[in-house]
Amino acid sequence: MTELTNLPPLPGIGLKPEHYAPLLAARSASIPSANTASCYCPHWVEVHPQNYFGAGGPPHRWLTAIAEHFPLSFHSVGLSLGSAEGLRGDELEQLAALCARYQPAAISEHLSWSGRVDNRYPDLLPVPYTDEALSHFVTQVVIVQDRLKRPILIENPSRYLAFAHDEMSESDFLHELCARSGCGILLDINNIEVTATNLGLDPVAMVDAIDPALVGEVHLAGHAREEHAAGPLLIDDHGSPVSALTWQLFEHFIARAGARPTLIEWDTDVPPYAVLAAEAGKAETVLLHDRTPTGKRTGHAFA
Amino acid sequence: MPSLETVQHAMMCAIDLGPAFVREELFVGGRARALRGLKVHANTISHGRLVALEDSFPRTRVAMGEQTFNLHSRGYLDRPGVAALPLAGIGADFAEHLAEVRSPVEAVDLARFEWAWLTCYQAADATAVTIADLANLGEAGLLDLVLSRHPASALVEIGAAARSRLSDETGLVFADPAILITRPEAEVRVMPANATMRALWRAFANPTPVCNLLAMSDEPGSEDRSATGNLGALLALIGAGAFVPRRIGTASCSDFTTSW
Repeated sequence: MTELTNLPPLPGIGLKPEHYAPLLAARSASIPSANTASCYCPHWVEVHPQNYFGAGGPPHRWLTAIAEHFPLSFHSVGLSLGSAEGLRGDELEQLAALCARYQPAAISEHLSWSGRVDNRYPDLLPVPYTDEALSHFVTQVVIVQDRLKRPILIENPSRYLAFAHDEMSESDFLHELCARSGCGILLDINNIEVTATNLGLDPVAMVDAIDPALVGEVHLAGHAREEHAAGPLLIDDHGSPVSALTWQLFEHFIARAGARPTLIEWDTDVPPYAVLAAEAGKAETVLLHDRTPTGKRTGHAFA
Repeated sequence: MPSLETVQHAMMCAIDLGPAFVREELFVGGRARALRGLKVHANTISHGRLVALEDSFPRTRVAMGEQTFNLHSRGYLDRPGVAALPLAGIGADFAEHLAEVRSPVEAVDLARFEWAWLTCYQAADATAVTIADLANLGEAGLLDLVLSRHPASALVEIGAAARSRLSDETGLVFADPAILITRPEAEVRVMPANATMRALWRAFANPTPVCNLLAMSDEPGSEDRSATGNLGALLALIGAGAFVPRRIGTASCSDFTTSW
């Protein structure tokens, strides 16, 4: 099977400019056999490639320095694969150029759309789970993979809306997408909690419905919570620690699937590096406790 | 069953135009639930664009005050074409917008400066020619040297109020209206540019041989119309990292023309 990711099945962090220097310092200080929370060093980092579409400057200098020590994952937020008018060709070309420059270990995008070419939304909107949307999405993923000459991962969305005319479940949509396009799944477990809470679904059932063999990467993040008369509303803002329920769902998934490359995302109200590192250390504890039936540590899905 | 295009068109109408355009029959859970979900998306989109402007123009925001800045940011985002820009480029015409709505000159100038700064920050990297490079060339090599502007350089002309604010921040005295922004390496540099430096910088928009400087004393447009003054200005620009070498040792002065 074609490898979907070359990331190690260990924790990574979402890289923010305020963490460039602390990350490299942690790398210098870390002792591979004795990682501790206070000087924890992640095993890989993930960036939004759109933040590096500028031709040059300090962001590229930092990323080049960091890429010497850490595998990179590119988590794209701008292709708008689900847009009925088709993906953004300009973004794809920029992404291809960046991939050629940095040779990331993994590339991912979202099961979403982001407006039109004349009205770009800085948001990830849900697509209806219909045959038409599936066929369209498969076509777009194949275009991306053909251009990049490698498979990509597609992330399950955070949803605040469910469509009345859905014809299949989210997991069925993702599985069929993988089968038809050859892509894999980036399983965002916080998104599972957000979607399940907002739409009245069972989060454990949603996690259990995902075929772990297709999962090349896992995301963990925090969310905001609003109380409404109709019930709680979770907002996927990546601005707080991973919730207790998301940790439980993560442990539940890893126990079934084995270790996977797992990212701690924190995009708003970004904390000091040590806070993010502690979350990554917590994820490592889960990943290193193998509870798969075979009783041995498993490699990542497609190693 | 509505098509993908129909669903997306309906969602965009609701997000852009408000609750009156929500088609609740497309969603599970009725109107209240649809409104709640669409509002999350509308807020995220609006917040993302506004924060991108705040991040691009921090000094302008301080100078204008948060409330006024937000008011004009919202007006700017409603301008035709702005919503088509990626977040990284969304502030390209913000200064122009502030000028059109008759914002204070200081705010317009600061926005122009900040966009130029940001453009230099993200521009292509290139190896700037240095004073040491010139010293190694010798006289003949110097005369054959062809230079053009560094891709990460800009010159902005701004009024006294904005210059005063930048002086307070940098400790530099900006007596002339022009400010040179360069990024020859990782760090963005800001420095005052006198009239001669300004004229020289403009002349080097295209690859230009240094020997053309010698002819400048007869050209209009420079306050210091001596070759010595030009050389001093050129060295100041080179010291700031404003130029890249284009050709060394193959140029002839007659191959190039400059417009002063």
